[in-house]
Amino acid sequence: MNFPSGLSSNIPNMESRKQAVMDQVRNELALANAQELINKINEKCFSKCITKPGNKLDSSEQTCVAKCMDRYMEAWNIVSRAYISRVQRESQGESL
Amino acid sequence: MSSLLPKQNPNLDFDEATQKELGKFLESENARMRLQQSIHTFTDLCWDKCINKISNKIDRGEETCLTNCVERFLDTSLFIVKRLEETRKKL
Repeated sequence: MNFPSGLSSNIPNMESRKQAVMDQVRNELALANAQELINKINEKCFSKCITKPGNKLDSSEQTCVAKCMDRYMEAWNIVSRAYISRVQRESQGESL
Repeated sequence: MSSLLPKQNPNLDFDEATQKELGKFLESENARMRLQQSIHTFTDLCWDKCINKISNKIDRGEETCLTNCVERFLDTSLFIVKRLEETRKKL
């Protein structure tokens, strides 16, 4: 890109500030997304694996939670694929 | 969009082109976030419907159930809107 030479000294600074804003937004959204996923996993796997809360989280419950986490993320990916392909199909249909 | 980049803060003083670019960026991130939020909602809903026992892998039946669950949820949503529209037209 060509900038008027008078402005160019200001450009790198603004460019880096712009990048900083974008990075911050990306990080915050990624964090919010991860937090949402963790909350859902906690809720779902607690209800699946800890049917009768005892005086500690025993090893069979831990095994269950570990497996449940993996399954939940797997399910998330399957749902994600299904939804995205539906959205794509529908937007193609509209353009026809 | 520009309200997020207050002029009075010198650190956020961007030129017009950059403001436009950031506006576009925020719009697309916003759309991505909404998409992800929908996926969270569907996974929550369809997990309860489709996953009974925690096994070592999601099996074929469960996978089909999850996919159908998303499709039918969206169909239901479209159906409801369509039906409400038809009801409205009859009035």
